[in-house]
Amino acid sequence: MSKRPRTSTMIASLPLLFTAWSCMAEPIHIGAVYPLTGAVAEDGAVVLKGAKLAVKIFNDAGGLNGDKIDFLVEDGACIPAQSVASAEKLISANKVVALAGAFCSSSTGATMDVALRYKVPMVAGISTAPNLTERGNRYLFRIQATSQMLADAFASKMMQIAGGKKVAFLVVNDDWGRSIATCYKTSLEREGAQVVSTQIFDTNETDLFSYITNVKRAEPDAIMMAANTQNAITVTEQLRQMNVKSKLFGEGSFTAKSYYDAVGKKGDGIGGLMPYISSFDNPVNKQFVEMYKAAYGEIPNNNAAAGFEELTIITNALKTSGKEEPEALRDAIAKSSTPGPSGEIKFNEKGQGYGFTVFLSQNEEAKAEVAATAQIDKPN
Amino acid sequence: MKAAARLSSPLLLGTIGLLLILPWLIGAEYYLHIAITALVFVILATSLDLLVGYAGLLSLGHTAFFAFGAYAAALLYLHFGVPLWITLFVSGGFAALIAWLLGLLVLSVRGHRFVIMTLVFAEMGRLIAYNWTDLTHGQVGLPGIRPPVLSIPGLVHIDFAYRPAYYYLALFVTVACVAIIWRIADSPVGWRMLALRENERLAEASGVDTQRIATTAFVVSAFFAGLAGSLYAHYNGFISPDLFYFSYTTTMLIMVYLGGKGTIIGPVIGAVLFTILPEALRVTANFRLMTFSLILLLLVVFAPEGLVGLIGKLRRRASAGEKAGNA
Amino acid sequence: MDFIPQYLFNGLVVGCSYALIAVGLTAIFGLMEIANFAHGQFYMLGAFFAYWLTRIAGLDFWTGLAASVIGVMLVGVLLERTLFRFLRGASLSSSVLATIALSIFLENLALNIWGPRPQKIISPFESGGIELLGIFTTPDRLSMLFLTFLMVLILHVCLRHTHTGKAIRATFQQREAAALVGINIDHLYTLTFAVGAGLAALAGVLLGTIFVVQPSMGGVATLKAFIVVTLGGASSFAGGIAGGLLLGLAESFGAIIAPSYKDAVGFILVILVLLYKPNGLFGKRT
Repeated sequence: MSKRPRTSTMIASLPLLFTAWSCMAEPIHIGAVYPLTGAVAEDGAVVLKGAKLAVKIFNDAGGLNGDKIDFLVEDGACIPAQSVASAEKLISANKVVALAGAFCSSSTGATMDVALRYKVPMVAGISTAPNLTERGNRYLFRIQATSQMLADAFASKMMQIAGGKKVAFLVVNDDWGRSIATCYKTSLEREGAQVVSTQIFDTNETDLFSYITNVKRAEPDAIMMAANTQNAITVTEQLRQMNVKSKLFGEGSFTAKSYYDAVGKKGDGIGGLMPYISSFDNPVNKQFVEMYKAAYGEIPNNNAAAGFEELTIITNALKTSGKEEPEALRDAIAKSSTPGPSGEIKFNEKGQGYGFTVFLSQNEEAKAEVAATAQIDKPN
Repeated sequence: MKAAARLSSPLLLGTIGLLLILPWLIGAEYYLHIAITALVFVILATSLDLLVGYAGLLSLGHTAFFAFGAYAAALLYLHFGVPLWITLFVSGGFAALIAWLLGLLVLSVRGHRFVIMTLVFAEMGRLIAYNWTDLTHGQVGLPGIRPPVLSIPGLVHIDFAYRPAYYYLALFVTVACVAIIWRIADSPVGWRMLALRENERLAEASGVDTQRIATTAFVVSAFFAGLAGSLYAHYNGFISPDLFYFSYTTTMLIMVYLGGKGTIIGPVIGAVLFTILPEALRVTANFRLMTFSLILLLLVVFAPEGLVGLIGKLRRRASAGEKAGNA
Repeated sequence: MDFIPQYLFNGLVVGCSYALIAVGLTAIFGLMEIANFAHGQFYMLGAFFAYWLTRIAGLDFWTGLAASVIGVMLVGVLLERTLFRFLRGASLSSSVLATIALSIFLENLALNIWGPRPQKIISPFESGGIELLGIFTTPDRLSMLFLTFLMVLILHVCLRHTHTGKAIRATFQQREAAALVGINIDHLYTLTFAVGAGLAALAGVLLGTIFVVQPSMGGVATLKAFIVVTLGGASSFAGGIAGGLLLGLAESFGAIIAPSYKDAVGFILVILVLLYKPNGLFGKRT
């Protein structure tokens, strides 16, 4: 006696299966290219946490007409070639209708060409290189306030705090660090500053004494830093070891939990120029922080917020357009006004985000307190 | 002794046939992307084999020539609109020139000093690409390098931005390069390189101008690496200083050793395998490098002849077994 | 002008770390003629062992230091007995490639065990700067200087005055003759390898208190070590130490002119030395 179902039974059940299958919800394929390995893997993991939360909110609310998001993540490792291959795979093989990523500006710069070629909208929450939105790519949407926008917003306040005209830069050697040096130079000089020293250190550099010595020699009233994770820790410790008395400002990880864990009160007095602060009093943010704490047991930082914003913009576009096609989503994102943890996010014609709030924080007792806020207006 | 493996004619024809109809076989453009990437690495691996496998000069700076070629192509295209047809040769020539100049410095030493010099050279290339931001835009890289459009009014109009078209272009270029490298390897020039590899002093005594041969190997392999750089730049559309990273050199070395150094064909196989493998093993990213480095270590220690060598050994054993069986 | 002592001091401290790492490579390279591209990983392993022992296992710093150095020496012995024994007669290509592969393997092993995030080893001294005659430094850096000096002294005494030390020097000069005289080359190699690895590990632990500990630090250390060996010549320990200090100072002063190209200083020195003094600044004349 055969244990397999009889052939006739199998054929008879086919129409039934087919009907059942087509009635089932179709997953919406959304992709992301994040650095899951490599030097910034930690940050990538945090971005992913924020992104997953946004997807969860959308799916738990029923998705779009019952269709839920199938969130596919590939490792770009912040290597341009690998990010490109990841995007290729997601779009061409997995058929995603929207893309998030790719964290590092150079990887985003490479991946956005892929998005353009396949005409799939791409939302970048973190990459700050100014030229990304100057390349005429209508499929790229960049949420983050560029360093120029932050500089313009807070330059006068910074000069007030500095109490003097001489400014120095101590920045990490990548596009982000270098553009901070140029952007803030422009804005601060407009407020009467005089740049006395610009020191650019390699990200792998652990001994910054020479650079700090160079800076000290110039006797600046304020020093603007650009440093992430370990560089931020190293820079802070070594500035304190060398007894530098200038007022310190920085973009980067100067308000991250890992930073406070490592340097504690040595970070006090540093002013942070942040796109996000977890203590921001805004209903969307409050809910975001609550959910993030509940899901992951820690307070979200700007990377988590960025990942959350990337996917929220996509889910919002799904809801407003009601469609699951790339072109419709692109149009929806372009016209969108999405409530995010830092405020409403809108995009100008170049795909640059605006409308949200940015923060000048002050480290006190190993915590970030808000010293000033500014709302980003529509850039030209 | 001909070190290159002999491919039986049906196998060769079959492979060529497969390559020609590839775009129809594989579905998504993503797989063509892997194919084109593999072709670029075939050129890189075979040119490296000429230097490392034939002339016996272990260079750890091969990727620098690739990167210089890519940057040359990118800058020529972005500033002057020079198309691929020309940048292929200019990139190759540029890399060859740098190799020739570097050779004046570096080829006077052998052994570990040569190795270190090539490594230092690649690192300097990286520093320049990273820091000379006015020219190279540093880490942000150079985007927007377009593939060419072949337009003869009335006859043909091919836009190579259409991926299958670029695939055939890359296939043609790659086959041409490999054929030329093979010709060089299987010629008196190639034999002199082998003599250099086996015993330099003896070669000198036999009348081989070892300095000239070493320079030839160095310059020729750099030429093809630079050419590959142009092919890559126009396809990828975007280049950045990461092309100078040591990881690329390691990849090329694994390809040469995996396939079998000193065989030319071996690196072709190694390049194809080693482009597909990392993509196929996407899941195990963290363990990928551990696995690959272990593979390289085992290869170097136990099977320096690579896959081609292994296949050769198996064949010989099979035919010996046949003979023994018949006896 | 008045900042010159600061640059000098900065350079000396970094130079000491280079010297410690390179001295081991000089020994391995000069004695065994194997280009060990995995040498920097001993530096990395030493730092990670110390991090793990002090931060996770809770040992105090000095015990952790000793245990880490010994641990890495054991790893060195294991590697020497297996892989490096095989590589002894091998061609340059083989040993370079095999050790590169080993280096990548160890780096990624560390990555998988400890993660990519940079860590710090808690220093036994209180953190914070000290000012000495107008120069800013920290107790960690001073102890690095002191310990390097101590190590160099111990090394010198051992090489000059102990039986084993003389055996090493003899083998350095003339391997076959030394074997003929009855020196056990195998044991000597293992010992030298272990000591070299141990010194690199010591540098790793000390630098791990001053700076950070991360899996990628090994690769950088290897490159620096080879530059130092090239500068100083692979024929004497003194060359390795002098080369290390020289590189440290050159980089420190180079940073005044062109901070981004700091590493290039070492590269340019290497090129110059290889052109004009191929056996290194302190090497034998051919």
